Amino acid sequence: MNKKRLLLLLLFLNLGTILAQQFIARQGQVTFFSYATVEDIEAKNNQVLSILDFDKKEIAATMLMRAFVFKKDLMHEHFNESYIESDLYPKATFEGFLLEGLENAGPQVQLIKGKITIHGITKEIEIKTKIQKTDNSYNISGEFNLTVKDFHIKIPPILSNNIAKIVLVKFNFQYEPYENN
Amino acid sequence: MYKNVPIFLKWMFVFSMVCMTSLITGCSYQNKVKGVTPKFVVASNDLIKEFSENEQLANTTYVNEVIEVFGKVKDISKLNNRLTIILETDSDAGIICDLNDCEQEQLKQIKKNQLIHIKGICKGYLKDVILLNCFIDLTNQHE
Repeated sequence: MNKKRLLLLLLFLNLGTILAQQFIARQGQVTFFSYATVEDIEAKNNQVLSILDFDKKEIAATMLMRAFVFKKDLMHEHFNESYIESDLYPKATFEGFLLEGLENAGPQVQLIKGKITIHGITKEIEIKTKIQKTDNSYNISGEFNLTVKDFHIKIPPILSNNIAKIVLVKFNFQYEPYENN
Repeated sequence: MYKNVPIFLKWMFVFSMVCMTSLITGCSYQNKVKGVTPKFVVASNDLIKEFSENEQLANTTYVNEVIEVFGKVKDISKLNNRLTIILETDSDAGIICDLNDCEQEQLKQIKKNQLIHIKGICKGYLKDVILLNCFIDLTNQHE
């Protein structure tokens, strides 16, 4: 009896992992661009974590603000210490959902709706994304704009010509099937 | 004596000095990791354990410090044109080590499951611990 139960339980668990179509990206890329009159700033984070669940149509991403790499050391320092305050707000996160399911397998453009949190401030956002099926997984990419002021990031007036008011964010996540161990 | 030196030459001297110092400081950024003795030497397993048990405490200990981690190579990835080594742990979490661009040659000698020591700047923890600007130490093959 006990053995049967165990078997059933195992079967159930297995089914669960097969049915739950979860995908993970551990090395997602997020780049932001600030085009201003004095200088252009670009920073890349190549270790963004994202989990995609097609059953629930959910997508989540999180990244370490300190892991953004800048061309200049000083930019990195200002970003972490003065603007983002990485000690207080070490991570930026996004949680959202796909407005449509993923019925057809071909490459497609979909709207993702969700909440983005940066510098402790959460904003609603809609992002147009390109979804592409690769071998046995997916690639999701897209871009959107963020207004610096929205996230209570204070730029000293003397540097207002160095940093754009609106920052362009691009992302590219290559997923792989996620096995829960 | 200096009065006889033309102003142009004086400025040339100043300019070249500025160039020299900027060159030296530019290089020293790379050596900020390579030439530095790591503040901590830890096994990949112990590092992930510390972060998963108490992230805040581990953050104050390790974040923005040069640390050396040793463990078995789980994966080598060239995604997004970055050279990355992922170190294995007992759980499904790993240590993501983003290599310095100078490490291309060293990486050729690395195979999966090899035990290696990697030095880099710890940036924190998501599902994995993340290390940037990493250098491989092939001379040390011990646990």
